Amino acid sequence: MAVDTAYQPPSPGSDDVDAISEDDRPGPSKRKSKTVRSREHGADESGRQAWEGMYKRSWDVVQEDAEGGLQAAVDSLIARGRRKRALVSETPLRRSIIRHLFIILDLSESVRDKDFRPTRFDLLLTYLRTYIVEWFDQNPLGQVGVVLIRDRLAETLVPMGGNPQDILAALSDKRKLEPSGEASLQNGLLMAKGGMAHLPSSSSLETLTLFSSISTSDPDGSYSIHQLLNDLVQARVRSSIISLSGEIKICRQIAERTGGKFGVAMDEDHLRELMWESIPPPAQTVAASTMGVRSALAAGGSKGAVGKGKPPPAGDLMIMGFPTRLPTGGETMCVCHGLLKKGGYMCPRCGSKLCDVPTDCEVCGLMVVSSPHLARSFWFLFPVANYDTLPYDVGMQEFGSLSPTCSGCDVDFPTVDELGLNMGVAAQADGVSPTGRYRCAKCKSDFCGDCDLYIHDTLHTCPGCSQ
Amino acid sequence: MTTPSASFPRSTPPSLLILILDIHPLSWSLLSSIEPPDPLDSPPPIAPAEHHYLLARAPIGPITLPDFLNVLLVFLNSHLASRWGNRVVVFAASAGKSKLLYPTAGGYDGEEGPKERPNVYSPFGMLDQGLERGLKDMIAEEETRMDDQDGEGLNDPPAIVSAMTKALCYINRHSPPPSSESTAPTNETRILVINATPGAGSNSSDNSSSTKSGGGGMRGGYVGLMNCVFAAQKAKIPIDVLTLPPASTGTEAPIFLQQASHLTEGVYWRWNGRGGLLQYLHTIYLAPPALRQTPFSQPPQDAVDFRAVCFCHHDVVDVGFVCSVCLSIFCKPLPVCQMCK
Ligand SMILES: [Zn+2]
Ligand SMILES: [Zn+2]
Ligand SMILES: [Zn+2]
Ligand SMILES: [Zn+2]
Ligand SMILES: [Zn+2]
Ligand SMILES: [Zn+2]
Repeated sequence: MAVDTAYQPPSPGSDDVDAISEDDRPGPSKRKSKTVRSREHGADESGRQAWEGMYKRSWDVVQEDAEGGLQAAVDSLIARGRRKRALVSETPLRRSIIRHLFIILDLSESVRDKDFRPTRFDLLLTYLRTYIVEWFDQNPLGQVGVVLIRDRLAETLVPMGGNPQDILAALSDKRKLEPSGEASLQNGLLMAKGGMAHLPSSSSLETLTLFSSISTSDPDGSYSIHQLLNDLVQARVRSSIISLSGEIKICRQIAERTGGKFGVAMDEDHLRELMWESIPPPAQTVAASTMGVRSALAAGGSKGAVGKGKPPPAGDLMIMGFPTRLPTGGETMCVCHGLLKKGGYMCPRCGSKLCDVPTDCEVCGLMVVSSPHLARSFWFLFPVANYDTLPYDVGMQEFGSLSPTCSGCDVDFPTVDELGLNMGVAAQADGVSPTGRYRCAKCKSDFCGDCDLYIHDTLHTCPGCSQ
Repeated sequence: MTTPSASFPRSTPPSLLILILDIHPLSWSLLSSIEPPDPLDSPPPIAPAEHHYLLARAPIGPITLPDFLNVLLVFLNSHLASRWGNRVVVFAASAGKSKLLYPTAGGYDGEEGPKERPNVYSPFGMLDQGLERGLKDMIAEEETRMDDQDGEGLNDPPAIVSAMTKALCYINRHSPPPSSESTAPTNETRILVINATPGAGSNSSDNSSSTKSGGGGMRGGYVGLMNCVFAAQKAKIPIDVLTLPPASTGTEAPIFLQQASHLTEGVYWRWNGRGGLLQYLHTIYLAPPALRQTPFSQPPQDAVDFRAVCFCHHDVVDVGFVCSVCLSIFCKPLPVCQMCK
């Protein structure tokens, strides 16, 4: 990746903010030691304490809306992301790629730094929460786990799993995320690699490290980070690292040799950009994710015969099984680990019990996925066409035959009298219906503005068309 | 979300219960003619006093819509009575049509206001009368519609998905989900679906008339239901499901409604056909979600069948052919995906 050469940070609103942030910006090898950092944070040229400048940049970036809330600003950020994604998804992505990602989050003392506003820690958590949602939107069959590194140790915050809500819940519990000590990149990567050891090599194994420290404090011992690097290459774990503190040689080495990406975040927006770059599925996987239908039929459904061919061309079909989730009653033996466990999923073809999906059935080779995971992407396939605004004159003419209430939320539409009053005002705004009605071209139902937004942004199903 | 086993909140916020009632005429005519599997097997009539001791031995018997509505009204009144500020919204789903029954928009338009009955707590009275009125209106509407269409639409599946989308729009408009940052206790909302239609249910899979509209709609079946599930998940709204056709009728469980309740952490329960519905409604569905694990408890949840519906024939499949790009599901191998070409 071309690191930041073309990147221009957006110019902040005021000059004096610029003066503060210039020194603070973690350019390549600008800051090397704690002592330099502490001087920078003590006071800047204008004699202002760092904590006095605390709110500066957030005021400039975030605009309040009329009621003094920040929702509008947040919404516009989200909307920007969606538009960007809509552009990205023009090119065919192989959504079927089973990605397994461990996010390694640096929680050393260094994340308390305030060079990223409000602090590195808060910013990382805020970004991670939206990142997780976006990631699962684009990788419906993916699984994500979270590893924390602090006090030179690594711990698994969330084991590998496919439910974004679990991860979001864990990331919102700040008591469990107290930063402390120094970070060991080696331990973090080792734990992530161990957490993925049981996964089939046919799926894409990845780590994304959000590294805030200046250097890694790894255990002394016979096993060095360079040996770990070799093991990662061997196990085909694509390791990407985003540094918040400048160029770090070992990080770049690890990323480049394992096929991952390395980047140095310059400011908040750049950090977000670097993180979001890792959301679309990788262009080519290490091995064929699963067999294509034609080859599968030729091989009579047995996996071994197909071997590790090149990935099937885009648009090819794959055989997938939809399992039955077993009740968490008694313990039964699973085929993936050979252990007695509660719950699990039953392969629809051979009936063997698997601990977790998506996975390839250990016995019959069938790719077993949970159908709701596929359903996460249905709204891409069956989008609700935009509703038309209902012009004023049509609204007046047909008023008698129009439904008096919204077909979604059942709120009353403006009456003829109210329309007459509003006419002058409402007609101007672009895309706003002067009659307050938004009509589905297919089912001819009218909806209010709130429902129009909700149906297109969240629900993705037209209440009128679905009856 | 698992609640710690020992602790539970001392008080819960006011709760909005959104009920989606399946009033499909064919389903109810089936339910009202359920026969015990073996007439010799059924025990002699039980005296009302000892009824609850012998519930398990109660015979499998029919239930009619009016009988069920009586039970339902008691349940809804209990919900209103159990906490100040609790509210009820009722949607009905008939053959291919859904409608808000209560509260009716715009109130009573003049001709006959609600009759104040001096001996009835007024929220109860409003609910009873409003619901009765809404239901009568809808049934009258449905009758004329069926007559106009020569019974044409009668085979359409109940529009539960449509009712669910309306319910979610209603929630979005009237009690929007709290923003992630605010910790202030907000009103709690849940959806309870009462399904009367046997078979895989609520999807349009086993119905030929449903495929004719084609296109992306699928008549609000599987795709629509799944979209509702994700919208409900986002807003943290549990979808509870009570399905009435008992297993003894040999019909399939509504697997997609079961998936919906599993995915939104709601309760799914299938009636056994042996009466006791009022008690089941109260013990399983009355407690607000925050109190369901402790001090109350839920019935153990069954195995969840995660089968899907193919896009080509709307068949329920357990092994399907899935496009590697767009994840469309087909039941037969195709040389190239029909959805993305
Ligand atoms: Zn296992
Ligand atoms: Zn199998
Ligand atoms: Zn509306
Ligand atoms: Zn429509
Ligand atoms: Zn098919
Ligand atoms: Zn496709």
